Amino acid sequence: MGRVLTVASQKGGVGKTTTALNLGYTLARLGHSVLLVDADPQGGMAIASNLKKRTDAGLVNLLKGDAGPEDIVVSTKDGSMSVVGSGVVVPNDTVCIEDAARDGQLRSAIKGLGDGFDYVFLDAPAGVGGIVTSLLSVSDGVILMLRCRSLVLKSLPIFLKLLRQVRDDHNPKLQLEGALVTMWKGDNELERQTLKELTGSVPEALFFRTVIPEDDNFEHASIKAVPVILLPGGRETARPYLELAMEMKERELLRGIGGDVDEQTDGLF
Amino acid sequence: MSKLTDSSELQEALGLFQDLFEQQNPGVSARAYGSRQIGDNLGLATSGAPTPLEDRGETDPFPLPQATPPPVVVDEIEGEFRGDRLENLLFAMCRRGGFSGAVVSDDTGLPLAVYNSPVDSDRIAAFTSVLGDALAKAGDFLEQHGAEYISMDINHVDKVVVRRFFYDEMEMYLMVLCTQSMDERAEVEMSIEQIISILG
Repeated sequence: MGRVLTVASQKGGVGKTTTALNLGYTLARLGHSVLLVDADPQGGMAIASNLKKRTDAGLVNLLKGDAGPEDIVVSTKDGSMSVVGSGVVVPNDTVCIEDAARDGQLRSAIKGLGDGFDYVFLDAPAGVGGIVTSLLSVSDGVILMLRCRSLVLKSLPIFLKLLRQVRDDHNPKLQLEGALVTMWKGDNELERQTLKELTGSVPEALFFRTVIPEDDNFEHASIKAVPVILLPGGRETARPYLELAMEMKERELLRGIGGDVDEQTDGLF
Repeated sequence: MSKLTDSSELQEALGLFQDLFEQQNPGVSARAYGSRQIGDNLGLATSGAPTPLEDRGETDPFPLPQATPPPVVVDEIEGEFRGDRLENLLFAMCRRGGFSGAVVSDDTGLPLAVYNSPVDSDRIAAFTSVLGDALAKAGDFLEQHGAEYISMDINHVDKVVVRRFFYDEMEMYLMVLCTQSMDERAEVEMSIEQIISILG
C-alpha cells in the first residue's frame, strides 16, 4: 500500500472534501494511482463526485459484508482515480461505521482497499470521534485543514491531542503532513493579520506554502460534481491544488533525504 | 492589544505543533524547504528572501551561446535554499548552453526546478514522465541497459532532450529545450554533476 493520508480538521466546513477530491485528482493526473475514501457518514465525497450515479454501495456495505471491494471501488471514466463512497443511506448506517471503527474493522477494511494505490486519501468527518481515531490509526500522514478564523484555531488543541495520542499509543509512523489554509479571503484584513500572527508562532514549515483561496468555482464544481479543473475555465482555480501536489512531493523528497549525518553515513555510505 | 496567539488555546496548540511536526519532520525545516513563504501562490508574502530570477520575464528566451562559457562552481551558484539554487543553476546552464528552457524533475516527472518552461508544469510533468518511461523501456526492448539519454525533435527547429540520472538511488531527469543544431551534451553532463551536488 502507498501513502495513506487523512484529510481532517476539528471543525466542519473548512474544505476537507474539496481538498481530498481536487488534490487526489491532481496527483492522479500527474500519473499516480489514487484512491479516495469517503469515511464521512455525511457522504460529501459521494455527492461531490456524483458517485451515486454509478453505485449506492460503499464503505458501510463492505463493513456489513453486503459487498466486496470490487463492488464499491469505482473508477473515474478516464481510469485515473478511484473513489469509495460512504454508502450511508439510513441513519443506522452511521452507527455501523462507528461500531466498525471501535472494533478495528474499519482499519482493516481501509488497509484492504488501499492495496495497489500510490495514494489513499481518507476524507474524515469533522471532530475527534471514533471514526477519526480509527482513520488516523491507519494513516501515514494527516493534512490538517484550517481557516483563519478564531473558532477554528482555538479548537485546534483537542484535535492535536488526539493526533498525539494516536501516534503515541497506536501508530508511531503517523506524521502531521502539514497545515493547509483554505477558503482564504484575500480582501479580509482580519484573516491576513491572523495568518501573519499564527505563522510567526509555529514551526515555519508547518504550513503548506500553498493557500487555497475561496472561489465560487469550487461551488460550481460541487454542483456539477466534478473536480474544479474539469469546469470550463476551472484551470486557474485548480492551480493551487497543482502547487499543493508539488509541495507534497517536495516534502516527501525532503523527508527522504533528511536526518542527521550519522544516519546517512550508515551502511553503504 | 491582546493577540490571538496569547490565548490559552493557541498557546497549547503551538506547543503541540512543536511536538507533532518539528520533531517528526527533521528534513522539512524551513531552511531546507526554500525561500517561499506561505501564500506565495496568491501573492500574500510581504517580506522575506528575494524571489530568485525575478528578472525572469525580461530575459531572452533564446539567448545566444556565449563564446567562452565560464565554468560554474556549485558553491558560487546564488541562492540560500536548495530550490533557488537549482533554479539559478538551470538559468545559468541555459545562458551558457543557449538552451531555451530546462526542467529538473523526479522519477514521476514532478518538477523540482524549472527555468523558462514553455508549457504548464503539469504538462511538463506528464511529458517528462513519458520520455523517462521510454528510457526505462529501452533497457527491456533493446537490451541496452545504459540508455540514459533521449532526444526528440519537436518541430523543424527545436528539440527536447531528457537525460536520466540517479540521486540517492532515485531516478531523476534533466530536460532541456534547445535548437536541433546544438550539441548540448557537454553542458548537460556538467550541469548534472552540479545538480547532484546541490541536492546533496
